[in-house]
Amino acid sequence: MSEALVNVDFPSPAGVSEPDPWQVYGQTLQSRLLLGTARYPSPAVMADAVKASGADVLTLSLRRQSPEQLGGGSIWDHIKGLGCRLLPNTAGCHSAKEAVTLARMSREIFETDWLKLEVTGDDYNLQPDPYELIDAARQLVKLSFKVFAYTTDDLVVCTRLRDLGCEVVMPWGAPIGTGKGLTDPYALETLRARLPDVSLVVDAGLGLPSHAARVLEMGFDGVLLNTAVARADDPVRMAAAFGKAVAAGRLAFKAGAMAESETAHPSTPVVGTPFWQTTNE
Amino acid sequence: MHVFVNGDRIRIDTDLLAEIVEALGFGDRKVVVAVNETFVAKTEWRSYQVRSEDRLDILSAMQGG
Repeated sequence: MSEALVNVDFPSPAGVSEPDPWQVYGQTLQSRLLLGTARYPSPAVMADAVKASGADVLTLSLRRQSPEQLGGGSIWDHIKGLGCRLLPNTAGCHSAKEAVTLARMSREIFETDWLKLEVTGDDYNLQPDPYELIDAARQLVKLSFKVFAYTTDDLVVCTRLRDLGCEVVMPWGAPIGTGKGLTDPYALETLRARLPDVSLVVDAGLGLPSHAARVLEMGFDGVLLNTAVARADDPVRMAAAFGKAVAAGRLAFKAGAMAESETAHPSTPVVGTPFWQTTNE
Repeated sequence: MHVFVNGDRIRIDTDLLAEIVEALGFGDRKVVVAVNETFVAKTEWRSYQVRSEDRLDILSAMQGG
C-alpha cells in the first residue's frame, strides 16, 4: 500500500488542524472514527484500511469455532498487531441475558471492560430492542463494564441509557449495512441538543464519507462504521476518505457554520460595481 | 454422557470442563466458555463439572462491526 495514502494530511496554516483528542471513559482517543473489522476482502486489506483510516478503536466479536479454525488465532493476530484499542460487540444477541453472558466472555478473552452493547429486536432491519437493551445496560454497568450502547435514535431510550451510566450512546444513522446515511437528521439533531453532556457516536447505516462529515458537523462526538469501508471497491482508499471526512466535519463544527438565509446575498462587494448607472426618469 | 458443543451433540468421557476443552482440541487456543448460556471463567474450568445434556458454547475472537 502507498505510504502517501496513509499519511496524506490537509495542508493547513499553523493551528488550524491541530490535534483534537477526546476523552472516552477516561481514555484519550486521537481519532473520532471507530472502525469495524468485518466483511473485508482479506485480513491484510482490513489491516491496511485501519492504518489508512487513522482509527484507534476497532470493533470485533466472539463466535463459535472449531479447533481446526485455529480458535480465531489468525484474525486475532492481525487485529492485535494494529495496536488499537478493542471494542468487542454483542452482535447477534436477542436478550439481555445473552448480551450479559457474551459481554463477560468478551471481557475475559479481550481483557477489556469496553463493550459495544447490541441487542437485536427485529431481524429484518436489525433494529435494537429498547427494553432488552436497557435491561442489559443496567446489569452491565453494575458489573463495571464501560458500555457503548448501540440504539435507535429514540430520545427517551438514549436518555435512559445515559441515566444508567452509559457514557457513550450510539444512535443509528440507518439500519446496519444499508449505507443509506442519515435517515432522520431531525432526530439526531434533537439528541445532540437534548444530551449535550454524553458522548454521542452515530453507529451504523453510513455509506459515504459525506455522511460521516455531516455527523461531525452536527456536533456528534464520532462515528462508528464498518461496511461502508469494507465493501467499497477499494477499502483502503475509502478508509482514508472517511478519516479525512471525520476530521473535516469536526473542524467545521468547531469553526461554526454560517447562518442560513432564505434570500441571496452577493458575496462580491456591490460598491464600485462596473457599468452600473443611476436611472433618473 | 452426551453434551452439546457449539450446537453439536457429542459423547464425552469426562465431566470436568477443563478436560473437555482439552479433549476437543481447544487446549492451546484462546477461547472462552459458557455452559447453558452462563459464562464460566477459565479459573473455574478445573473444578466445573458438566452434566449430561448441558449446552456448551466455546467461542473465540472473530471480526465484528
